[in-house]
Amino acid sequence: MRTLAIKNNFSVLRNLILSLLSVVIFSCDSLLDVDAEGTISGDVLTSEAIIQQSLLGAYYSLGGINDGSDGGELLGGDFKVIPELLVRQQSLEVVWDDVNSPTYANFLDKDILLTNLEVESNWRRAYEVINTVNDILENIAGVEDATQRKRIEGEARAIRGLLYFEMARLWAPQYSDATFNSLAIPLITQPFKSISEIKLPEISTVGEVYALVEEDLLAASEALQEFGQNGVYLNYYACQAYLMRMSMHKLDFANAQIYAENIINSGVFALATTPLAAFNNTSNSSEDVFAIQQTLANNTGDITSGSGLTYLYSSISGKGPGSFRVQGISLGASLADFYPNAPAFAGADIRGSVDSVTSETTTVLDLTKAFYRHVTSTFTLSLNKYSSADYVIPVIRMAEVYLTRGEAILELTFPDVNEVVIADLNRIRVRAGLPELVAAEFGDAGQMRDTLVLERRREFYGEGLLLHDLKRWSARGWPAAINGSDPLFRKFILPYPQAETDTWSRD
Amino acid sequence: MEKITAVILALALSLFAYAQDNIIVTGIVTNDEGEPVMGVSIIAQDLEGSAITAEDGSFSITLFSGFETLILKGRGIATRKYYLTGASEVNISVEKQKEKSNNAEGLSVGFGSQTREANTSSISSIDTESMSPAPLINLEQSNQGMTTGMFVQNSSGKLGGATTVRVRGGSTLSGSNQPLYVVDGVPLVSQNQSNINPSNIASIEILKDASAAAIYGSRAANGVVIITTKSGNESKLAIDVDYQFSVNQGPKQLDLYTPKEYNIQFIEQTLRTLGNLYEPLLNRENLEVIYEELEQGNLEVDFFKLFDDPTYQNFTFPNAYGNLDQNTDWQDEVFQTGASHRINLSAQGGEEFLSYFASASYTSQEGILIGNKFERFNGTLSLNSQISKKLKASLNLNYIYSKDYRLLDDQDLGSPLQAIVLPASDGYDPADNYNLIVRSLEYNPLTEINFSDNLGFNNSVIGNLGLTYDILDNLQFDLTGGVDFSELRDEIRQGPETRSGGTTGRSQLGTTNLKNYIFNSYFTYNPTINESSDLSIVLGASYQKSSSTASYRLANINSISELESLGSDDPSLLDPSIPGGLSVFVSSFGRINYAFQNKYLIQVSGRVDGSSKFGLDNRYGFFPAVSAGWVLTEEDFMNSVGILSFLKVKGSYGLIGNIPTEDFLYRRNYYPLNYGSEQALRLQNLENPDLKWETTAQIGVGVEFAFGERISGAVDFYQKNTTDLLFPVPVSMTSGFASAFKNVGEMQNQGLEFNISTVNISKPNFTWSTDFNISTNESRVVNLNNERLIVGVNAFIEGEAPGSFYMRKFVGVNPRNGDQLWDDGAGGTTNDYESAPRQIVGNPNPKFFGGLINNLSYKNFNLSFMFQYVGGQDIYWATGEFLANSGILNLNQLATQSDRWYAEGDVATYPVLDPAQENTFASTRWLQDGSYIRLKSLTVSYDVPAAVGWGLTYMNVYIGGSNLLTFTKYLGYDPDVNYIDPLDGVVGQNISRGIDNFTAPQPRIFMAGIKIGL
Repeated sequence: MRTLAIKNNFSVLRNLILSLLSVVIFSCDSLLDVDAEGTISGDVLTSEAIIQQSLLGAYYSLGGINDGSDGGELLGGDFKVIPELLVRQQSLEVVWDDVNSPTYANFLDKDILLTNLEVESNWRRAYEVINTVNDILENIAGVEDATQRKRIEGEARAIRGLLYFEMARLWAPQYSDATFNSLAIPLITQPFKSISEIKLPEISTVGEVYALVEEDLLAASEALQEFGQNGVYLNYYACQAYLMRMSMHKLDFANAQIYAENIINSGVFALATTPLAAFNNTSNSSEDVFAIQQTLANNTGDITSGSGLTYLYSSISGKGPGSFRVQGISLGASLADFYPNAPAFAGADIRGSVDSVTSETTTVLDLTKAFYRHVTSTFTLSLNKYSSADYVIPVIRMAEVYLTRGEAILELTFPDVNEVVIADLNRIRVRAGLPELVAAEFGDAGQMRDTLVLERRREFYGEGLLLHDLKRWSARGWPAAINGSDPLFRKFILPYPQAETDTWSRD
Repeated sequence: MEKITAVILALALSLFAYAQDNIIVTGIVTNDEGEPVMGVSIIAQDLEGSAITAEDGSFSITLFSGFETLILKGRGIATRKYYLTGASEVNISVEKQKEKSNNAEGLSVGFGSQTREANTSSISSIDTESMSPAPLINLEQSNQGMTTGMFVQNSSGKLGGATTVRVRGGSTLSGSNQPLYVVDGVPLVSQNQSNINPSNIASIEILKDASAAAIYGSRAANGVVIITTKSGNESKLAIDVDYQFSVNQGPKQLDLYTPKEYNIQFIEQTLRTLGNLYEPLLNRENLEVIYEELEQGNLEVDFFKLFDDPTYQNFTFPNAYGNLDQNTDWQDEVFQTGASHRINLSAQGGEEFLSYFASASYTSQEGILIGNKFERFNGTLSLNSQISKKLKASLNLNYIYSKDYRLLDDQDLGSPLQAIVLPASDGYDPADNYNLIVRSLEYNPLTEINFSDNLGFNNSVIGNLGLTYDILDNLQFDLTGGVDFSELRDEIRQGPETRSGGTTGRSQLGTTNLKNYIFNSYFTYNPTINESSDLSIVLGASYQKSSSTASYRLANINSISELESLGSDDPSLLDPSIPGGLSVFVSSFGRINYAFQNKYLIQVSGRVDGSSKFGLDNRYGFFPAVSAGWVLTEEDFMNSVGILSFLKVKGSYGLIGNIPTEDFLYRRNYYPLNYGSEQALRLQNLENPDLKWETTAQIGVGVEFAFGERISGAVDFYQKNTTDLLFPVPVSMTSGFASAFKNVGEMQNQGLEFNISTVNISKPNFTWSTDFNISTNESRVVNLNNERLIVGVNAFIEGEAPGSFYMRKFVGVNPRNGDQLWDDGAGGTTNDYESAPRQIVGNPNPKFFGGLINNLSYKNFNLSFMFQYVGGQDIYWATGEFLANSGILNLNQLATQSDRWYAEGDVATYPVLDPAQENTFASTRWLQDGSYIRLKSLTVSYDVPAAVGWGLTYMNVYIGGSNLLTFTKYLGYDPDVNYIDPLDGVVGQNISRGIDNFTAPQPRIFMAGIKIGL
């Protein structure tokens, strides 16, 4: 009885209060429907202006612009650093600064913990980008202008296609007949609006991922073709370049050649005058098919943020501790057998040149060589490719397009020695200060392939391409190894982060 | 800990010594017109002895000496103090009081007041008169140990540092666990409670249970602290002036390495780095021999000569060793003796139409660490006006300006206390930017202090304007409007000499602008039913709107003014746009109090809160509470129980809500940023329209008692259950998010509170009274949806105390090789850190805490001292990971670290110095018992009777001190510590408790002051 009385009391009180509420304050809900300064809330993707801003938000995360929180630099950093460390030999080739950048040591050790923070943060941020472009694609009708709608849709699909491709390269087995039905990554194609929509994700197969990648990139190519270079944003050529990369992974060399030639023959891009000129630029160089844009204020990070590509590679004062410390001896040709994946620079190769006089007062502008003496760890070298965080970060360079076309043709014409291959090789070699090669120098196509492979190792040192090359070469049947292991081994594939799989077992 | 408890209890119990009194003083109390005033209560200060004036204004009071201070209080008169000078007959005149909205006689309960006897809920009040005059610039600190159920913990001894306050334990995981502060009716969002001038506070009430706090609805789940500042009385002009001077010192020095001990470590480190080349040679004895040899000045050591052993080649120590010949006391370098001043001036007076209270105060404090200083100006104005017979108005304004010379965060290199890990045998060169001579890669905090500025400015106002209209004799309408505005500005400039300054210097500027408005309107109805019934009804509504905007700029330049002048399109400027915050509450509330024959008391209250933080379906929360009391001593059958003069039992139950910290989580929010130089947009959160109030249900029972005039006290038990805990639940990251806020989980707090006040001695010239309080609180995470959250060494784990210490258990040293050993979880030990499981090893939340306050008076002298204690709390001394790690990083160490393992067979407390070990491996090696008893304050004051002859109304001089003695087993500087890592975020900070990470201790303060009245 007593509890009943209390309840009664409560309900009387409640009614009293509610009636007072309605008298004293009319239309409370309107009082409670408020917005804070600078917030944009609800279903906002309804106009071209906002959808365009949202698209730039996708670029922001795709490029790994430092947001002060959990990292995950994707194209603007980790998608280079992680694969690079996975092919380098601990201490012999690269001495890693565990104290300043402990979360990357796993990759050099080839022992990636399920709880590795970099694996987790890139996984999350990649899906954030996917969600953003899915949201744009769902609301694309909000762009009234047909031309702009075509462009925005094209860029959004390009982002989704290339990102799923990059994720599949890192988190899934190398594409092959054997792995076609192997599990790869979850493919999300619908945007999330509410947290109640978050479900146990379904993991798609390698085949399914590649199918979506191809579909997205082809659609994007078609949509973007009329927009030419499209400023600094994703364009027709970048889509073709990603289709070229994908075709190489599928060992579809004929299409790879076509995609490469679509870019080369357009004449829109040209190799920079020297290998050094392809890097450390405040705006895209002539050979940047696609690059991440950085400014002093908005970049992937340096000493002020304690993360990012510049922080990891640059040892210049005020830029970073240069956690990626190159053992100079591993760069040369003398110990080539000992370092099967090293660049074996020889002769006057500009790409192997070293500034040996550096100090704490050295600035980025003082650097004139491809490597320089590490400013604090003076017995090692720093790579001069991403030396300051206000420079653009190349994602696809013409050098890659030429060398890939050469490789595709070589594969297609094997075992013949093909002149186009030699011409493509020479473009890269001559620019680097090496002598031209002539057909007569090659005993057979195998030797020519060796030269081409070596050229890729030299040209893309530190850019994270080699891991993927080794995987597809191994799948093709060419000899390829990392520390004596097959690059296709599980340990060279990133694990699903434990923080992710923990949520799977829960639901 | 049992010992400490026993000591406290013995102390408390031993105080029940009694004695008898004798002088009788008689007199008459009259008003300004010379008419006698009846019903004035007269109390000798600090004594229970009292009298009440009769119809003719006469009284007679029994005293000890005739030199006491009398306090006169009564309905309609201004409370006044009267200093007796030995006369046995006195005539005292009193002035009429201007009525205030909060009756000073009663307990402030929120939208009204009550007498303590009639109150049925759980409310503690702190008598501001009895607070130590110690120069605590922070109100929360002054409350430490003063009352039950309120745990106060300092985060750091740095000036202006935050204070952790927990009323009956923290009840939430994702939000703030601090109580709601209500200053003059304005619920603060600015956290400026700590900046209110403590001298101006008239009363502090702490609403602890649901019944008391429910009137504040949501946000009251962690208790409510109601602060009422002084307001004007209708009286002649009275001016009060006080000045205080104090010196602050570090309370203790740690016993660190001597230069010799550091050099021995350096030698060992150098030789061990060479692997097993010299290992068989390394033992303590030989290291001393090598040290003596190197002292000769020759860096080349001939081992054959020293040890007659041809196995070892000569070894030449690096030249740097030769320079390790200094003797630097790094603690001396960074600790300082700070001087502080506080001056306070107030005036009050007025007539019926308008009375006023105004004050100005200036505080300047120097911290105990170099570079730390705090200045504050407070100005207040309070006006009360009886505009017409039926209409009254009141205005309260508190203005605050402060300038804080800050230090870097405790864990940052460059924070002064980080200097204690610098080598004792190394020195620094002021001409070379204070860089260390030998270990130049280590960062000397003196460089940071000398080449940087770190300033915080606070410019705030708290104000309240109220109108009271008497509709009928027993029906009153109140309308109040309040503001709580705060402008904060943080400037950090780090020169190129500093570590963060790079080659150009670095400047940062952050501003926060907070605006909080509140409007309340309520009716108070006191109908007369019959002789034996009292009924009171309060019904009202409230609207509160709080908004904040913030900005931040950073550029690599060496000047704040240059930074400010950079255009927003300047490429070197980083200025992210920070979304503003906005929160609105629309509420309605009511309270009914009914008392029958002063015996049976019941209170029912409730509040409906609407919050803009929730979606349409979950906007409104209803938070009801009920409490009841029974005054047994009013019953006839109790008449025979002679010694009990008052006994009340009471019980309460109620619900209180809590809201998420973040705004608008119910809908998707985007925020702007830049890609290249173009504006972009990013999604901040997915919508959760189901998000609702976190609810805390609290049940409480208690007994209040008094034995005669001299002993009174209370016992309370409570249990708080928080359900629908707002918790960042990890979700599949394929959504783009790692976690999402949902209502899951449950937490519980329960505890016992006991306090007793006694008058131990009542002799003519001597009185002694004691207040003792003790509280326990047990906090537990009941359910967390099978999740666990781990931050560093603390964790939220189901079934455990929130923030429990969760780490690997250090079990000792392997005598064979000096390895650290950890509990392998299977009864054995392991030297593999990774394979040792983490386990629950301690609790950072105190099991009990409280205070013991003694007041002694002898003639015009008064001595008061207060002990404050905390028991059963563990502290993780994170400092030890660097300062007591066997020297693995070759940093300076606590002297005890010389007792490390050197050679096979050593039975050592600490493991071997392994130069290859970079990770310090957090473990129970640094977990400590943080219990303590502290002589928190001691004051001797003297009322100068002659002052009246000098034309003053009174004059009081005092000397005293704070934090004078501390009894603890804790190894670090101070067990009253709770380092808050600003990078942890709200949830992280709630988890990460009881950490000492190079945290500054509470200062030991000596002070002297004078107060005069004109």
